[in-house]
Amino acid sequence: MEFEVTMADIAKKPKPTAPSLCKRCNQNPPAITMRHEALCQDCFTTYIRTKFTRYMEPFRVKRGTELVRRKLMFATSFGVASTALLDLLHWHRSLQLERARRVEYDIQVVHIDESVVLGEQEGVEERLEKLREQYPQFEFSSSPLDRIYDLGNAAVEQLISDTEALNLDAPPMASMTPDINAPTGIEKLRSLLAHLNSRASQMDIVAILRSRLLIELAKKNACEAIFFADSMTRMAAMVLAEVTKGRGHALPWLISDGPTPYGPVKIVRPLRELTKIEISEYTTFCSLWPFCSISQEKATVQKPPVNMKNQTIDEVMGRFFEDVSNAHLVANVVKTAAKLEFPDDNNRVERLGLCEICGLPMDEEPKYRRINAQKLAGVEVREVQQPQVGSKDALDTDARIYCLEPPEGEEDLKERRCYGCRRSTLGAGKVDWPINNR
Amino acid sequence: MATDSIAINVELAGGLEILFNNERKLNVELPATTANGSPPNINYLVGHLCDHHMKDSRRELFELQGTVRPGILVLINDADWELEGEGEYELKPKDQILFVSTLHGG
Amino acid sequence: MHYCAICGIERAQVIRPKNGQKLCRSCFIDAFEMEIHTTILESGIMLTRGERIAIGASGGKDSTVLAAVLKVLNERYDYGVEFILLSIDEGIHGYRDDSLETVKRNAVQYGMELCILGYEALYGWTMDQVVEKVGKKGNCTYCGVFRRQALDRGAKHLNISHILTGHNADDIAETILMNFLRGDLPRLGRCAEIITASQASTMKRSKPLKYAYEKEIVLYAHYRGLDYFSTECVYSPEAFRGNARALLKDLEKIRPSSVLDIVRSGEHLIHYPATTQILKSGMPHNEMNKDAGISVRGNENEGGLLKMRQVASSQLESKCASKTQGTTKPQTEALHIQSIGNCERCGYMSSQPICKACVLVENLNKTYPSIAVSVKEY
Repeated sequence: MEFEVTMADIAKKPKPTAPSLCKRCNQNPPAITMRHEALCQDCFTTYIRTKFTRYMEPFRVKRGTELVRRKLMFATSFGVASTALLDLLHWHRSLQLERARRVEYDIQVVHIDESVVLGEQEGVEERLEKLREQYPQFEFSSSPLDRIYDLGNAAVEQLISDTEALNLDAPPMASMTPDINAPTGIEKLRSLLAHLNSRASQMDIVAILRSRLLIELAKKNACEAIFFADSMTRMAAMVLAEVTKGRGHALPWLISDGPTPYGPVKIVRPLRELTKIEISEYTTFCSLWPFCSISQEKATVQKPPVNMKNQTIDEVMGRFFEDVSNAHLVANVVKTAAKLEFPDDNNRVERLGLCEICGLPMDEEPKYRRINAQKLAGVEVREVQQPQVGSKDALDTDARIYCLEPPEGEEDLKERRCYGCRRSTLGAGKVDWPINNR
Repeated sequence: MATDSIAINVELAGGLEILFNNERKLNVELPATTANGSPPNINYLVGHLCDHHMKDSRRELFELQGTVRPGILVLINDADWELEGEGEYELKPKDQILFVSTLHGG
Repeated sequence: MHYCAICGIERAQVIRPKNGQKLCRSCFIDAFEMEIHTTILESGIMLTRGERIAIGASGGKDSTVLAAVLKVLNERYDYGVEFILLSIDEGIHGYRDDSLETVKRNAVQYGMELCILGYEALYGWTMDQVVEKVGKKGNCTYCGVFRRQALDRGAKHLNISHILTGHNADDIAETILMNFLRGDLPRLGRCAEIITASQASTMKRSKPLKYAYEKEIVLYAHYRGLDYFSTECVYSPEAFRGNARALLKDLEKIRPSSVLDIVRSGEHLIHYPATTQILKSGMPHNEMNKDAGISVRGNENEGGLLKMRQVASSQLESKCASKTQGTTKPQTEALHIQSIGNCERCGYMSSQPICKACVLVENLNKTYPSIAVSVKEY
């Protein structure tokens, strides 16, 4: 904390303010009205950096300690928030160098190339080159989405060799030599997506693959944490989108910082207290628009939906919160989601494990959740009436009330795949999923 | 002339009749071909009803973005319009079209 | 032409939003009724033989369909239950007059006893009088609070301890979204419950249509030619609810199962008081979950994000020290525990010394305009 500007520092400054001057420094003319306060460009920038710096606390300079450069990863989409966060990281690291003559961390910037899904993406290399010039101290690379198939396999092989090393019963392998006729990662990915029933489902699965690939890359490169540029606005949309996809049971894992259930790499979202508009203003003040994949004009104009039916749930939610008339709801949603308590979580993860697709804890039928919650508390539970054997009733609730029937030959699917992932893969048949939970 | 128009029956329910002067059943004549040369479809009918039959200024309670407002159910000859191509369904003589709102009252 | 996915003989007339299944009219009616039967059996609604149970009846589509389906199921599966239609007359001229006529016809059609209870008798005010007093803005609050109690009071009057209401899947999904948007955590923790009961009252309320789509309710009413009444309440519809509703309709268009998926999510957010007590008595958190970052969820007020940050950074900093960190996890149970007692004035269950209805009535009886209350019970 030795050099960072705190909110307390800022709070000390104001004297009686003339209305035409910045509320905080009382010196410069205001450039922006933010949360009912008129601020000058400098004070606004300080505000943004302060909010960001709170999340950098674990990576601050620890004087008198031996210097071990920590390895961090940053995932960029080249969007506005990504561009702003990269600049903030650059600022933070430069400040360490300037004030303490040492830096605590190195950053690998990764872009996931989704052209296999979205069609050819223009200028990825150019954009990376531009960023390399601007931020020479960071390492930049891009990785195609289908790489998850290679990394996933590598991880399985690693697991097998670990098992062998421990002298345990090694699972039988079909073939250890690569098959030339075996489909490539791209083919497998395309086939997986082609079997999903809507664009909403495809994009949901793509988002899961993207985060899992990023985590795998971080693991492979020995990075201890991965940074995401999610704004508060984005987080609000994420919360309601995941609720809409039926993943309410996993909300805490979806939105909290920290390690994932399937690995030690930690997720950090340092922009989670800033709104999209604030980040966009910061981008303007710091002249960062040339590095964004979207122009300033396009970013500020709301696009009407082209074809309603072909939208994704995330897109609809994103637009809902970007709509200025709903902007005041953003904080409510994020704060409420952050306060959710799932007291039966521990017990649930122990009993049910993780979802094979998203890697988050499994859910269970609401009926059993209720009964288990009561049993845990030592409440005597009246047993649910048993349906007649052989009748239509003998099917489970998921099939009979939620109409989520398991595919032929996979009656046990609900023990491996969470409700949300079963919805997104509904009718897809056998899924060749690239990555396991370890 | 009979060949130049299509006669269909429209029914309004679930509170929608309020927008149409409390009339539940309408006999509607549509041109056999519309201005753009194609036969009239449900979306065309929705616009036609707004223009010629609605007795309420709140058009948006029935029509949004060129089609029926979400939350209003459409039955084409007593079958869900989703089975028939929704707004693109091309009307035939004597078709029974029911619009029923799901939004009103519990 | 599509054939029915179940019988394979008849023309498909319905496409089910839950799974896209195409069904003929009679297979749809069967499936719809079967799901409500399943809901009653499996959700612990538990209809006891010989019991008298009230159906909250408004004459609208939901309660009419509920009564019609329950009559069918009671006969088909021999529940051996007596249903009584319980209607509340808010005293809105032109709105309730017609809908009450519908309820009276329903009572004859379904062979059920009918009881109509007026706001005027219960609170000394009709809704028309309330609106005259407080204006059109905010009167939904009065109506909602009064109605909630009115059903309970009416049932008590009839010596009944179980009320069934017509809340459908769309209503519940909408309420879940709305409670997020409003930041109402306590309500979020209970709005998806199928049965609500309190310790202070023996009254139980259940929602057998909880998993039924609004769309299917309307279709069911249509195909069975049920007699229901539909009009908008003449006083302003709640704007906020409209917002969540429009969002829900957009989502349903993209993925029809969304409505049900939100309900499912909401069911996992139900806060069971039982589990709260375990935490209080200090059930140990296992290692896996500590590492999974469960303790990241924050605390009341501005603490939410702040705590989140603190815990998050402490986790990042102390790689292996999570054993001690985990036990100091922020405890938020107090937030959820609401002691339910009884109103000092009317004796009705209340979390406050004086219940909301009595507060509202007191406000009405005073000469100055009411305090703004923005609560709607679900």
